[in-house]
Amino acid sequence: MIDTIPWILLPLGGFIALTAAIGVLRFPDFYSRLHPAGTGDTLAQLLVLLGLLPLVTAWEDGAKLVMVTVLLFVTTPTATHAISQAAHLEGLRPWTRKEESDG
Amino acid sequence: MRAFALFLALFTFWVCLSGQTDSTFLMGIGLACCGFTAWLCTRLEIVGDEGQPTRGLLSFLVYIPWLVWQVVLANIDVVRRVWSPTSTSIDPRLFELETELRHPVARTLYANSITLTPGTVTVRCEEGHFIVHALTEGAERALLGGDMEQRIRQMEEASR
Repeated sequence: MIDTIPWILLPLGGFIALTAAIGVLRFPDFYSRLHPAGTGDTLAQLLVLLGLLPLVTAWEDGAKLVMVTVLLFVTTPTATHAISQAAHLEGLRPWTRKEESDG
Repeated sequence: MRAFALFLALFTFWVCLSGQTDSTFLMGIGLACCGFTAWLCTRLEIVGDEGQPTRGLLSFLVYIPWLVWQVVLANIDVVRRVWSPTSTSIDPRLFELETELRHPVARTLYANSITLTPGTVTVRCEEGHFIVHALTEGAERALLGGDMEQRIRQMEEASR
């Protein structure tokens, strides 16, 4: 039973990461592209690391995987916030549906 | 007390990274280093409410599973929109989000939680409000509903 968990979680994590890449390509502007990139940062890495947990034998390795998850959950939103604030300060205006119908 | 909590956290971190629990010499070195670091931090006066918000820790541990669940739900929504064959499924907007949170740790946690849930990104943090970019109207309404802020405010009050 425990052997099947990685086989479910790892491909699922890969699928989410692929979705993040496709989302970055498909979405219209800088701000909206942050959102699918965020799915890659959060759910994809969570699924991959959870999927790896049953595979490790030493407890230190498991603890390291958990630490990587915690670190990424703290740092990625900070980085996302930093670049979006930089864009906002530069005066980049977000793409909206109204502008599309105007032009 | 806070310095001791810092020491415990450092030592746990060190043990997890090294894993050499059978070597007395290495464990001793680790203990000494963590003790020294905690002492240095006390001398630098960076041990405090902002660096070690220990009092809200318990409610924080309750908050984490809820946040992870919200992240999963929001992710499913964004994934659906990425794969939707028409490009009409997103309606991005910037909006102002009022917040009554004052404590810097609570504000950071709130802003980071918003960014962590896909569909919403905190663009700016200003006094009394955030500027948030939302991918859809639903994501905006979920934040304006204030459920997340409510939970963090309870944590802020518990840590007082």
